[in-house]
Amino acid sequence: MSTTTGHDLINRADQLARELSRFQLPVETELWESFDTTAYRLMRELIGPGRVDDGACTRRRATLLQVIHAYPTPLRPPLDADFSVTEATRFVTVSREVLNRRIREGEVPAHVVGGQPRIDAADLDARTDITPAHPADPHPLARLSTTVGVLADMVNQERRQPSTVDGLGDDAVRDATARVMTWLAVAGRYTLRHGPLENGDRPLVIAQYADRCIDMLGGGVAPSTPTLESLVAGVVTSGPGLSERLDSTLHLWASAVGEELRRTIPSTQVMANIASIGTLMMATTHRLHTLSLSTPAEALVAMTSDLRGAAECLKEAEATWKRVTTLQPQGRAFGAASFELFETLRKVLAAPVEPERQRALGLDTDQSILSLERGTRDLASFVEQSHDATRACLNSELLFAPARGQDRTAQHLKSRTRGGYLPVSADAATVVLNPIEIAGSRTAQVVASAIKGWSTQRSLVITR
Amino acid sequence: MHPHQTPDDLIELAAAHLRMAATEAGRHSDGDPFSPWHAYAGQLDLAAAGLGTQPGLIPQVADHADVLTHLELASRALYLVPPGRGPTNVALWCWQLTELVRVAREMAAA
Repeated sequence: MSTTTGHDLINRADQLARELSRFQLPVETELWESFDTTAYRLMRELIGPGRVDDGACTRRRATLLQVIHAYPTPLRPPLDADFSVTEATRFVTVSREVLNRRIREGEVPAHVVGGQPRIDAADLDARTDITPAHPADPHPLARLSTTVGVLADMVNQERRQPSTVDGLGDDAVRDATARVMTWLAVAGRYTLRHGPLENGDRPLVIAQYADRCIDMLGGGVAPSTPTLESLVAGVVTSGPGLSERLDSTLHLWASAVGEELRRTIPSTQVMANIASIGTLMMATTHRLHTLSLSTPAEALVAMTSDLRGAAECLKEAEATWKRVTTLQPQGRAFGAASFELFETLRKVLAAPVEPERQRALGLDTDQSILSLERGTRDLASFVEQSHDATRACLNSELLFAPARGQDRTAQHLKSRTRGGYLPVSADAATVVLNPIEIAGSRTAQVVASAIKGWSTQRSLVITR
Repeated sequence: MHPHQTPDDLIELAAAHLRMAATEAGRHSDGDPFSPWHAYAGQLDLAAAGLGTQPGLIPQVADHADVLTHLELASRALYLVPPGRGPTNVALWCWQLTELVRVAREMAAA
């Protein structure tokens, strides 16, 4: 007889999640919803309020609770539970006051425990049509869903046996939750790519929520609760229009960059990537102006020179940021937002010349130019902030460079042989900072003047 | 997994291949800052830095190959990390690599 442990199931789910990226099978909304519900059930079993332990006041525990509370409105409540009115509002679309009134009027059944009304999960369940994935379903997402479901059952069973609860301490729960977040992020993306477009909002919201939580659980800077709550509102809409998508991805990117640059010590890789994305923004802006009927041909010449100049400066800044490091990692959410924007810009850059084909893609060139102008203003501000952060890190000896590129002192020689990094010395500051300063300020100047100039030229055309 | 390769070794190897892929992608841009290959190289660099266990310290791999080969080698290294022993988000990096491969193919075809 062989025994399957929770660890085995976690490993199996991890393997299935990895394999998901190799499949291209279409996925139905029902299957996604089943996975979404099952993953939430597992998280609740792992972290949920029914859990009895002494660690409720630890920081780790608080992070775990923050993660589960931030789960975007769960599709179904866990069925073997009852909830206070406050907890119940997570599963319905009405406010606490409305729910209290409905309880008073007898519309929502409730029972009283300790003087407070409690509502059975079954009375909050509006999606009884969502069922667990069939264990015999060969679809990779169904297999992942089934494994996650079995794991949830196992954790539930374990919770009911207090003698074994030590095996589910906060560290183990944290590790398991981080893995569930990874599976959610992968499954959400898979569904977005291979599922019905009209139902893409939910997988996208879940994938973005999972990205944020991976950052929180990974020991990076924990986003504040308002940030997590704003996820639903700030989500990229999955509407088919390329212009709409560009606008959304620019917003999302700006939000992710802002969060990264607010860190005490930002990552230089993030700064380099901001500049890298900036070059593509310049190229895309140029492409859109060449396509736009509102842009006069004479303005295009100056514009091309300005945009290319800005892109060159950004490229130089990027190269400089790559030569130094603050030894800080970037957040997962930033990487996801950057890749989304890259993908969208790439698609706009490859837009066809024919207006009817642009319409078919949902591309409105003038609307997209306005979106990019706003994005470029954000970019200029981010480059400036990055420059200031780099200077601050340098002054605090928190900026490092490979020892092999620095002066030869005894300490340096030791680090050089190990291929290590050393703080950039004050003597080398000029060498390191100058290119960033030049590139940063020139980028900001070029971007600012270019925007001003083009806006004037465009408004003149419109007035005419 | 090779008996002498730890999960960290494999992750570092994948990161190094990504960095090499970024260098190759940068070459495709021919120095043109408007080239999408340049921004693509930036995405590969970001992935390499995110994947590496020590920020800023990514060793170079000795063999030089094209972008897709490096991505394939990075992907292979990641799949060799035993589930449950490496970082918790390896599955997400596998997905990200698949996306990067798809983009490289689309750009090469264009």
